[in-house]
Amino acid sequence: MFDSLIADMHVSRLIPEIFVIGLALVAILVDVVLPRGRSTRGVQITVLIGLFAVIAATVLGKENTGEAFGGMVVVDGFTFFFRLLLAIITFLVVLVSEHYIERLNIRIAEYYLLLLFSLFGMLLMAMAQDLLIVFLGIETMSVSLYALVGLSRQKHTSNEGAIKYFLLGAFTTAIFVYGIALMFGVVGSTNINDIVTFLSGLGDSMPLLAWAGAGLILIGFGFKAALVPFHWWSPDAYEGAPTTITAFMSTAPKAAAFAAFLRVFYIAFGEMWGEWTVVLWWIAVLTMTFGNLLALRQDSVKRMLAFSSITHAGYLVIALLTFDRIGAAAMLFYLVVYALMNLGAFLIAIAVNRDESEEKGYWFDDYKGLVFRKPALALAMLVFMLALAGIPPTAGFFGKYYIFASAVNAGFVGLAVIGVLNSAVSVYYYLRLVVYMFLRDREAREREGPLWITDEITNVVFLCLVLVLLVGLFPDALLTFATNSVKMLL
Amino acid sequence: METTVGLNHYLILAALLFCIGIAGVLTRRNLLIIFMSVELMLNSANLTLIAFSHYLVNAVGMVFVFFTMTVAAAEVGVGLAIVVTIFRNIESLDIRKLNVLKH
Repeated sequence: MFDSLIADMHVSRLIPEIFVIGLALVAILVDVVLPRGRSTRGVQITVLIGLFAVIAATVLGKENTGEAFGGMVVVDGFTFFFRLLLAIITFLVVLVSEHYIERLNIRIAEYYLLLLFSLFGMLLMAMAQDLLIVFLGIETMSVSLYALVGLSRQKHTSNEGAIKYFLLGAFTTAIFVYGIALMFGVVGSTNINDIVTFLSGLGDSMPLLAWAGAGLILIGFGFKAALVPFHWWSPDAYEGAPTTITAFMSTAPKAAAFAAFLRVFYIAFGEMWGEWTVVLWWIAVLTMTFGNLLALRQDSVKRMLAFSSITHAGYLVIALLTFDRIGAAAMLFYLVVYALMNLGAFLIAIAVNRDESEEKGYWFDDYKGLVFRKPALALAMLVFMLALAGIPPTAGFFGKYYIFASAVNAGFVGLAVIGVLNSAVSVYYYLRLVVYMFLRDREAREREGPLWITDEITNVVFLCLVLVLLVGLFPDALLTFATNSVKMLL
Repeated sequence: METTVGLNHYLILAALLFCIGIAGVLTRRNLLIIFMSVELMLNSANLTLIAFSHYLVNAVGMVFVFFTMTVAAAEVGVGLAIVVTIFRNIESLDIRKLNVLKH
């Protein structure tokens, strides 16, 4: 009997997740065994090899799909897509981190371990089929990120970003759990398939408690994906965090939050979707507009990118609220593209920022005349800015195009128009940076300082650049992959 | 008059605790008090889960509470560590003093 129980758990479907946790444990041992001072390098290499194994295990186990652990999690094409995306983002961030944390004087192995734990949480979010697992995934991810944001303990900005992120994150957790509790009270189960079966049986007589529960759960996801009006933590946490962590936080956790958001709301609350579109319509408009308006008046590139990441979350909500396969595929496509261009932009910001010990930094002024000093770097930044602004022939253009097309297709023409207008506004602040790089070089001489370029940063920036251009020229392959990944959801 | 305590009493109590917690988070200025208010909110959610679990005769809610408590403990660990580093740097727990980052 016991054997059949174990066989029903289908542990083999969770091999990538088990690898991630095993890898974290091995990395702790590596840190203890190696001599002090050299251990982080060893841990980094271990983690890189391990993450490669995770990606390989994901690809090899692609066909091993189905539920596991009694329906708590489900491994399907959607899970596969996010496993690949999240593991690759983590791999790239780990790759560029070693020199950066040395420069920041936070050279401790825990940096890598916390990244792994948060990756584990995100993987759970992408595969969760039970609100309990969604909750555990969100928390595993968030608690690791709180610590990562506050890792530069001497810096006031890091402290402040961490405590704001932590307090608002814990506050959201409480709201989220309360929402799950109310939903449990109505349905008597936290499994999203049970929830949809129960709610669709009710027809029009949906109890108020179910609305309240779903609303509170929506607030929880809104906070984690940094949607307006639940976005107040994100600019401060993004600015306070070490910049590699900012690059990580603005890409991977956002993707994971949208993955869980999509699965929970499309499946569990699909019955209520008509009413939620009104709420999400306003959230999308506010998120895009607020992010843009605040990004316009930033003098710090890091903070500008933080606000622009709020705007991009708004575009993703447009794709989400179409509630069809085209929209969901557009969302997945955009998540990949956004991760590539944002990682690239943040890494160049790291390279250009001169003094990491300053509390503030990352000024637009540092970019003056960059093209005359480092033409390759400036051209790469140009491509990332064009991509973020959604200008062809970059991948960013097709990302936005698919999102707006899916909105029009689903009948949200007004929303698509507002999205395009916002996209036009965002061109201003992205191209402002480009103007700084290209035109104003008279006074640049005195600001000239050595750039901080490592081989790893060059390689990863180059990789992101090539992919952004390749996807921009041949978007079909990625779109097909995204479309296939959402097939089982709708 | 004799009344028995039923599901609604628990739910109303939990809702009140939840609101007190929200009010605390929004109005207090001391990091630790805000922290306590968040814990109050979490516990009101736990109370709701247990009440439903008991009246629905369904153990899922109670199992959930075990997970919530564990997660809350982990959160407290990280949160207090952050509070301690802040206190070392600015020697205060007043959130109004945390204003380096501006919009």
